[in-house]
Amino acid sequence: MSAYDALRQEALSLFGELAAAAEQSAAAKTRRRLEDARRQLADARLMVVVCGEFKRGKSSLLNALLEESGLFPVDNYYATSLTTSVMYGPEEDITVRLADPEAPDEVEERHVERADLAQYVTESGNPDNAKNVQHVSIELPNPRLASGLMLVDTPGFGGTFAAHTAATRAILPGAHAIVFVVDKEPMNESERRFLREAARAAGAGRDGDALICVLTKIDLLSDTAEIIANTRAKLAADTGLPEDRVTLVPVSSRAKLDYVAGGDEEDLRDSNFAELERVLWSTLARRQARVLLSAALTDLDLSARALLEPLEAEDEALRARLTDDAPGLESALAGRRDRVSELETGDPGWRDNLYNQVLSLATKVQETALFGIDAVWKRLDEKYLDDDELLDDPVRLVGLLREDLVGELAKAKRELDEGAAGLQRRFARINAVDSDLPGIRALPDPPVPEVPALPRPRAADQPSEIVRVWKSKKTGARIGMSIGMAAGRTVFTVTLPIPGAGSWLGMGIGGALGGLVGSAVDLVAAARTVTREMKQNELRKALKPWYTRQRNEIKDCVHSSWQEFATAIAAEVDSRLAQALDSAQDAARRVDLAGRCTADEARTRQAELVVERTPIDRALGQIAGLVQAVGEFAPPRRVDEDESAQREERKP
Amino acid sequence: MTDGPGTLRDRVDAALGQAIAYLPRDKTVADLRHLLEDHRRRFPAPMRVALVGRVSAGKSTLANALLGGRFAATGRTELTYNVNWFRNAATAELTIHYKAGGAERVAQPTVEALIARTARGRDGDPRFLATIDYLEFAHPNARLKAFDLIDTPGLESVYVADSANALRFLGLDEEGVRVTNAQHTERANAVVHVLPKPSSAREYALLGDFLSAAPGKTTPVKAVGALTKIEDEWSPDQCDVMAAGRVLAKRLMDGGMNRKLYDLRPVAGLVGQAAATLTTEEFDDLCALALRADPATLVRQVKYGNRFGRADSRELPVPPQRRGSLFDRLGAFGITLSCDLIRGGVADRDTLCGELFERSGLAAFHRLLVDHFGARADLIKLQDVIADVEAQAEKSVAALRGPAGARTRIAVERARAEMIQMAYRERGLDELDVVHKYYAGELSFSETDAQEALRIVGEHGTSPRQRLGLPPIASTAELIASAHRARRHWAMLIDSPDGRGGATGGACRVVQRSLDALIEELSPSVSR
Repeated sequence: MSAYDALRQEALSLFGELAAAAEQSAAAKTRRRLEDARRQLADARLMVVVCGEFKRGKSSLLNALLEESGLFPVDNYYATSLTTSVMYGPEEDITVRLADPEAPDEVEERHVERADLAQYVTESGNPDNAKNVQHVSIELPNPRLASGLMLVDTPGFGGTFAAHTAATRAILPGAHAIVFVVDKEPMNESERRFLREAARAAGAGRDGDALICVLTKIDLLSDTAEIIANTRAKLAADTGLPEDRVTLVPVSSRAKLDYVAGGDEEDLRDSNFAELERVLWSTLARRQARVLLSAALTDLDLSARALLEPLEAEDEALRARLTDDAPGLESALAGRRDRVSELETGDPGWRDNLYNQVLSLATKVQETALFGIDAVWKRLDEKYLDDDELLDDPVRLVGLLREDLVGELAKAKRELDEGAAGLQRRFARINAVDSDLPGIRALPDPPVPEVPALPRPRAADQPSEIVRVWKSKKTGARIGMSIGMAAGRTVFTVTLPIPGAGSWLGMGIGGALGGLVGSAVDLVAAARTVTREMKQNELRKALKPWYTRQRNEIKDCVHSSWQEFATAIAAEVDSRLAQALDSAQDAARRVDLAGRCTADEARTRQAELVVERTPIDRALGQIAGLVQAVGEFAPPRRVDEDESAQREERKP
Repeated sequence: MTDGPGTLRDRVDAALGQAIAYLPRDKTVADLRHLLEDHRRRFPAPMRVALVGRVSAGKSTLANALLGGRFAATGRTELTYNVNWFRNAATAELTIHYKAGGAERVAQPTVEALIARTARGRDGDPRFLATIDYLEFAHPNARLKAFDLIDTPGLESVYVADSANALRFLGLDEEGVRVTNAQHTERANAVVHVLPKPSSAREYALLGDFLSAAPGKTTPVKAVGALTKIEDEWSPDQCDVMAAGRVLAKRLMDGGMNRKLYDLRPVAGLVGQAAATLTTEEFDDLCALALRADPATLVRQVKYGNRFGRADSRELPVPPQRRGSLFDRLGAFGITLSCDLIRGGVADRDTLCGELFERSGLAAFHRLLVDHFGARADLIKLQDVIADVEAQAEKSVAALRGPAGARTRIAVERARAEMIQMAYRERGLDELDVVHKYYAGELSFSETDAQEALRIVGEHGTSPRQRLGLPPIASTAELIASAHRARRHWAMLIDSPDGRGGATGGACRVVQRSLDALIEELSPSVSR
């Protein structure tokens, strides 16, 4: 069980205890908030995207990681040209989603047995994906997944399979950890090209790098030192990290699966999977688990205090009643009533202020993104188009542009995620509805709850490049999206709701990259022209529409979504305010009642209150302990901090 | 309808001589003249077969296995940098051709001297390696009688990005390599595609792109595939990796690879290489493992290479370090196979090596190269000659536009005509063309007819019995009767609606002519 598992379990049980207390106090609003927050933590996914070229041992790795021999078919022909996600479910349920050529916005969901999976996901079972499978979703009652781990197996990538690569690429910005699978063969150029991009997408997080490289099939070598050194050197060159900071975990899936079958500890040791799990969980902890726990603890603390407030008020009033302290009682009642009317009236200014702040954040993010796109364009003009080799190699040129763009947009996404979370906390604080537990400020700001409606950037007027949201035929629920390109044909699909506030931006990135692939044909034609100047002009001409389109896309995204962000934040603050009001009203009511009861009744009530508040006090103690534990658990790793720490050490 | 007197080689020599004679000793046609002379001089030389494939596909390992010794450096990471041309000669000689021009000869070279100039050594100087155009290693080698072998660092199109990057990683120049590789593809008459066991059906589509991007050079007739790294698939549950490899190769061929490759064969390159280079000490170690270790323990330990060479596996007789190096040299498949053979009675190193050569698929692969490329070598080369001459003549004619060049232009046309006549005269070329068209999917015969056509045009051997698909005991009378039957069948086909036009109709006529020639050959009294 990972440390996250334990912390999460404790938080979940606290939600249960507090909900029971809320039930007893008839605190309906608090109970609902607790239920919502509990569900958010319980349903939260830690998304691990697994990518790698064909035949590097991805399927075996996933089987070994899940300890499910034979879940992913290992076939000589196996080619994952689909995204497959695996997550927890109370019982095994494999859903294959098939596109319907007649109704492009809908998908058919078919539940299949594990043994039949190969018929859909292997090249021999489903040649050229004739069955039109778009996505496979697997739910398993596997304890390894119980805490929300979601593994996403992505299509392989390779030289000319631009569509596959694009599908993988589009979900990278949303990943909490990226597992990049290589094997005992030296990494080749297409792998390295993709890795550079993945590293840009993965390295943009506040809490350090999310990229984990796994070198599989070490059982085929007697000595892995040479290939590890070779791969490590390439990883260092491609990620810009020093060699000793590169995360590279050599594993043997065969040994792990043998351990699963036979229980031989030596197999487990030789598999090195314990190290892989350690690295994976510490990455997830840094990248996402702390964020989720921070949100849960904030909610727990707010709710516990909301439950305690009426009890404490009542206790205080009863004490005044028993000491016949009439002025004390009166002022207590007045105080509680003031609090109620204060919350009822509220500060009318904050909402407008919030909208303004979100708008200015969105504007800033837009500027960052546009500035980034312009910088990429400038680099093209000043650097790439001056490079004779690149003029002859448009594929590499596009690759470079794409790497640059991913880096720039990831920066913007990070600014948005963190800015939105910061605003939410700030406005909660302005309204005095934020947790003030010691230590909670050191945790990451809880994220903005997911924006309910996904915006659709420019679907109507750009049929050649569309982002489409899919609905389930049966339930009508949004189950994913596809990004189509190349003249109305859906070339690849990504069927994952990209989590977090920056989802639209993630889609923007996907769309932009699709556009780049689309124009590659013109680029090749451009590179065939004769003179250097012609080449430069033709390439510039071929890329210009992409540049313009990308800029418009970003503007559209911001225009169509900033208000939804503001609404989401406001809704969260409102909900906390409603909870506070509920609690204040209850407190006022109880103070009023306490003043009017008999001494005997007061004494009985006092004894009852001691019992009533016991679970809440206990919960508050546990929450404080959890905050501390989460603070100590996988502290953030920041490259710049590490470096400055090193500089400090070097000082005499 | 006759090929003319003498052997094909004599006829090509005569035609090229005649073509050269037509040309004036004129600077304007020097290129063409040079080309013709070059081809005439080179024609009797063996066919040149290049090993191509992605970085670390196992080309050098396969080269060693085919050459029967350790000539190319092999390892776990990118190694081969320079193009390496191996050919048979009476005495050993290494010639280093430099990019800047000029060559250096090393008499009685050691293999180390060759490897130092081919591979990135631990202390090798990449700048020096980059100055080399290619290396030519001549040495007495019976395996090279039928063809020369060219080991490359990776070729063209889908492959070039990888190898170029590998070289960039090694600190070497990218553009230079591309040019060198292109020249060597030109220089090779045929290629062996070295494919490290299949990645996906789609990856093979890439191979198709690669092949069709290099017209004229990589038709199926000139390309065979080696499915390498088969030994990686070994596990205690799947010991017979060669059988699994054959199944896979067949599936790939049936799945469309037969349009790209003449044949695709699984080879355990590592084991094949070991068969050529096994030391006495290694043999002794294998014997110790085979005879003194419990077979089940051995299988359990050898399953994990990372464990096999480790000191704490005390149940095995050979010291850990030597076990590790055995694993590197033979892999789990090679070790278990050798031990099985030794337990089965193989008692000396040479017998074991012979068995390993057979069971690694290398013997069959070498035979395929000898039979296929050896038997067709001259026809394949002739095709290249005709294509080259036509292309160059085209250029020369274009350069000689206008009245001033009229006389020379006529000379060029006559030279070209000489070669084109060759193309019409040589029945073998037409037959080869039928084979091409079949593999290219241009023929609309039924599969039965297609197979018969291939057989008749000599795809499976050029003796009358092989062409007619009859057993060796068949009498001449039976052969003649069979040929006549076939003749009638093909005459009927040519009259059928879909037999008439296009490539299929042409193929019908070629088959008919082949049968005519066959009947003529079998019954000389009838025709003369």
